[in-house]
Amino acid sequence: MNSLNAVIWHPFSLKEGTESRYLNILRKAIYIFLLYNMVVMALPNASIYWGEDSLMRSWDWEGSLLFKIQYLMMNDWLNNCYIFIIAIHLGALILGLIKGGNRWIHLVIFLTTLWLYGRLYLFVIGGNLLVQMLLFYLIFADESSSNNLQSDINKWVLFACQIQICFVYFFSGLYKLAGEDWVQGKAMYYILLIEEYSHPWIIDYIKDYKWLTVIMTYSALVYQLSFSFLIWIKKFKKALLLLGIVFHLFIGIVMGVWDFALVMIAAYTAFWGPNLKLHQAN
Amino acid sequence: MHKELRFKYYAKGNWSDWQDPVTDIETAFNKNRLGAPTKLYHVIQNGSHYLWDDYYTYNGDSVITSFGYQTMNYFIPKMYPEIEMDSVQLKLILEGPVDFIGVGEETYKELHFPPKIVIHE
Repeated sequence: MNSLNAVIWHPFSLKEGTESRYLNILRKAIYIFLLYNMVVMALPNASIYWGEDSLMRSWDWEGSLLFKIQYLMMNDWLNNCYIFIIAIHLGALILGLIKGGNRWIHLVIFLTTLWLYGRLYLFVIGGNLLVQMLLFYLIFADESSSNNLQSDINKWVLFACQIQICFVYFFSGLYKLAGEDWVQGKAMYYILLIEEYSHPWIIDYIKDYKWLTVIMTYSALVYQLSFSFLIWIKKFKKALLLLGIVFHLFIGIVMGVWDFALVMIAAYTAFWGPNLKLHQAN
Repeated sequence: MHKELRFKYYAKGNWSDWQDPVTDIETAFNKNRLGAPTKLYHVIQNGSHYLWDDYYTYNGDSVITSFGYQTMNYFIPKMYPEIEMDSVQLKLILEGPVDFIGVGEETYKELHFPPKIVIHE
């Protein structure tokens, strides 16, 4: 077991209480992302995303009670109070960042995130859905408690967040394997030719350097498929996370999908730990 | 496959020319990727994608009741509240690049959708 722990990292190997530090980093990273997403991306066009002049019409979606709770703002009477709900969302985020918050604040952030973005079916991306799942797990964590039981729960929460992120990468990679363009190395070539997901100076450039797009395609595929396995091995973790940050910065800078880039970089903080030498090893 | 949405509207007894809903937004998108225009640009693109997806899901039939079609026909008048549109008609321009190997040519296809009466709320 000791020789295994020398090679593999997991949150259950952390000393009691240290997992709180990493949970806190993850929580704050997600809250900062949500602040950016709302204040910079959504608020300037709030009236055309929510409210009476919304570009996304409300829809009579049938579903279970949980489904109806998630899409509560499909009800016009609530959607018309969007400014009020946005204010609560931002207030809770600021409280959560400055004061750490408590379980009620975390629950308010989860619910307001679910409701506000549940309305915006053309706005949300996979990263928003990942954030919602991580927020749900984080409701059960309490970084301020020194209770042994809570410490165990915190470790399970951190582990759940890590597994969720691994699922995102693994199944995304697996799904790509079903696509001919990914398997044949052509996917990034075609993606970077789409104006909405590229940059004008890149579109001309890649036609002459197709080999570069082949490398990018296979790199993305290998990275996504191997992440879920290699991230647990201490000697690969730092390199994987740094490579991932570069990968996601590319998505932000070149493809212009900054919200996805930032949410995934924020999610990486779930994997920080003592062997990244951010803190003195305990 | 690159999808571009175009629309024309019927107002004051005449049909307009085909309009591009993203011209100004695209300029803002290329200037500052971190800002709100980026998201709006992608919101419109996502709507166009749903329209394309619905067209092939429903094989061009029942397109009037499909999700994407309803969304975009609701969407367009909301973007131009100053124009009182009576009807909206959409088309999707589908542009395929030259094949990766370099054989063949760029492809171009238009998908036309029937006009939809705008309900003024």
